[in-house]
Amino acid sequence: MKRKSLILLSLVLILALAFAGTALAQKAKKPYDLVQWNKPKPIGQRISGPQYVLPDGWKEAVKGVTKIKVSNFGALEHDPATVQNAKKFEELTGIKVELLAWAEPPIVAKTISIFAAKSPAVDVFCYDHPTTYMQMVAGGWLHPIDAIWDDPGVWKLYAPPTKKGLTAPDGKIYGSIGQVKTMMLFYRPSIVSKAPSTWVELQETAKKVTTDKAWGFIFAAGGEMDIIYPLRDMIYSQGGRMVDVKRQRIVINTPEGKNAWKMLSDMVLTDKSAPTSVLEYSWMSASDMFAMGKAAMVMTHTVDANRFKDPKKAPNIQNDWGVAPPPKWDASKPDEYHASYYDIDGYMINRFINDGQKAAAMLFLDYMRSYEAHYRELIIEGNEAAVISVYDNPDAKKIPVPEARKMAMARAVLETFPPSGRALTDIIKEYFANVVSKKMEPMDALEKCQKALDDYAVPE
Amino acid sequence: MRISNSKYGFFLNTPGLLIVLLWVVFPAFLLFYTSFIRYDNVHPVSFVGVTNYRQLFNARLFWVSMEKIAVFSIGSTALTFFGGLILALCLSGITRGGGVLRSLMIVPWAVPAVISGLIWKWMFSPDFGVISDLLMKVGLISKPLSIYGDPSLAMWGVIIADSWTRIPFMGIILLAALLSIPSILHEAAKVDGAGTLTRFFSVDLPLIKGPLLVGLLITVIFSFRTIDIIIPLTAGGPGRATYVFGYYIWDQITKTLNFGVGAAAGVVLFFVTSVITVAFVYFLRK
Repeated sequence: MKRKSLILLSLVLILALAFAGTALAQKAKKPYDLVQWNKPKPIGQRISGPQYVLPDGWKEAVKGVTKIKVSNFGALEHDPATVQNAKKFEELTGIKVELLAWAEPPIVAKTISIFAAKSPAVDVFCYDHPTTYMQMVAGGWLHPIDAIWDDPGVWKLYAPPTKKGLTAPDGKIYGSIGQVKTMMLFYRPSIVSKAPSTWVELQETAKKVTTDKAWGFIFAAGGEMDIIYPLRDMIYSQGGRMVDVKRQRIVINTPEGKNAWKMLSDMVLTDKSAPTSVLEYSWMSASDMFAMGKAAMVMTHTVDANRFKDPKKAPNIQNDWGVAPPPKWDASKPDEYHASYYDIDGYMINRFINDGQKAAAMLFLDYMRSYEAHYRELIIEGNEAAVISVYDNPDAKKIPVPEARKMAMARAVLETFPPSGRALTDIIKEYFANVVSKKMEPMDALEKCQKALDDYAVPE
Repeated sequence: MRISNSKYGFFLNTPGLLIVLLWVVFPAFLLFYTSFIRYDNVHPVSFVGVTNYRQLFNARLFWVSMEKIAVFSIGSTALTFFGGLILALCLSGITRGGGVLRSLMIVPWAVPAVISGLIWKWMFSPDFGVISDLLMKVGLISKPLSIYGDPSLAMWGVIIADSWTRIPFMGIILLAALLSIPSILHEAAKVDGAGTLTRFFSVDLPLIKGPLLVGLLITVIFSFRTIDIIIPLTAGGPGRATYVFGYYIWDQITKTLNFGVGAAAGVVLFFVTSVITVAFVYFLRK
């Protein structure tokens, strides 16, 4: 009897402890864990309707949070969709969104300073490229947000490379989408009667149509990462890739890389269909040259169609510009190689803010990736919509060339550069400049560039 | 209770001392400390001794940036010196409207370096810049100058743009020094038959040597830390033609995220500028 009582007492104690433990654990739940992201509907359905639906449990999670601070690329007057989305989020949740309009050039430096100081001064940071995002992941500065992506259906809303672009090397997800980017070929029908469908054709055409008034083809090799755009497009058009994922190295002396390097060098030095001042151009100035009527063709962001359509911004090319898919390398290549790069401009959450702020920040990211938010990005601001189905909305017909943009998005290729990626791309820019300024022979420069890239890379 | 003068002086200086400790000594200590740890935001943070310095001195770009900063610093300081001196000499002779001209002279100094870089970027643009256009119109060149496509021209471009913002500062220092020279000395020299050049080299130059050296020292030190005008103007290019040492540090911090090597580079910059300062002080006392 005594033993039985002892066993019974022990069981009661264990049960009581288990209960208390569970209750404590329940109480110790972080505010952001209180949000049931898959309720009232799975995430994919909840955020993909014309009206965004808040997840269950959000109110309890963000109790006491009145404001979040979010960094923004540049002045707010250029981002009307972002401003409206922030306002709508405020209406829905009562949480004020303070958008911090940071000038673009020092934005990464500012972000790093705040992270390195472990400061909670800003809740949500914008990033301009998966490479930047991955560097912040490597720094251990971001709050993981796998919970808001925990539905297989949610990935179907976005272009295929999105998941890859957001998944960190540790398998976790720390970021979300703001807007996405890819490129298309823009041309002037008055100069180029039929848009080239391959790079080989494009090179020939550019050579033929260059005059003292307009260059045949224009590209950028001056700003940060700019030379990477044409190189990547040309490499992808041959089915190649620029990053050796296994070794975490940028490799450009592959057969595809050599072809691309040679063609770009030839355009400037041999064909003289592109100017040496490509070394000055950022992507923006290259498309400015096209907008001013000083170039017959340019590969630039799909979103530039808005600028080319605007008589104030591009008076010299009104009714004289067309758009074509990114060229594949040559006629022998399959059609899926009509591909440009895919870029994500997104948001990430500061690890050093308190848990309630984190919950509010996650909710904000949940809203900003929704159909409703991306409808505004596409229709109001003319940016690309990450949610592909927005292009099927009848309102999408109001924007320039919606079908071509949708197709370009669907075929785009995403590659994330390894740690130090931004410095590595500067090395490529340096050696390409050595070619254009005739300090080095093109193919010699390419091999030296590869060596410099390998020397600079973070040790394996 | 009586407090001695030295204690009272120390008491009065305490706030300033605290500010210096907080804003100068502590960050400098952190810089030195960081230069000895591996802090690359990829590997765990750990003490690595002089590894960051070894990595720094073995880096190709470190030496490229050292070469560029030497050229930039010499060029910018020389142009600033001669520009400032000419400006000061001209203004020291003007009595009517001199105040207005002196106020106007300071304007470029008041322009933020980043804005100045952007202004010069547009002026140097081969496609729509005013400089190439003017030079072509007067027949000095036949095609636009491409400072962004020609590495040697690019360095000249950043030197000119940087000096434009510094000349007023040098000019004001030298002007103040020139105006403080008693006119009786010039008159005496004139009576002795000294010409303009002789008066400048034998009277003015020895008497403005102190302020001149101070101006030069400040210009040299400022030139070593310059990147604010270079970023918008050439972004260190074309190639690495204008990739000065400050740019290398900036890249280590913001692009490579290697705070350890960045700090080591900062320490090197500290020593280089210290050596220059000591040299100037030596000449100043001589």
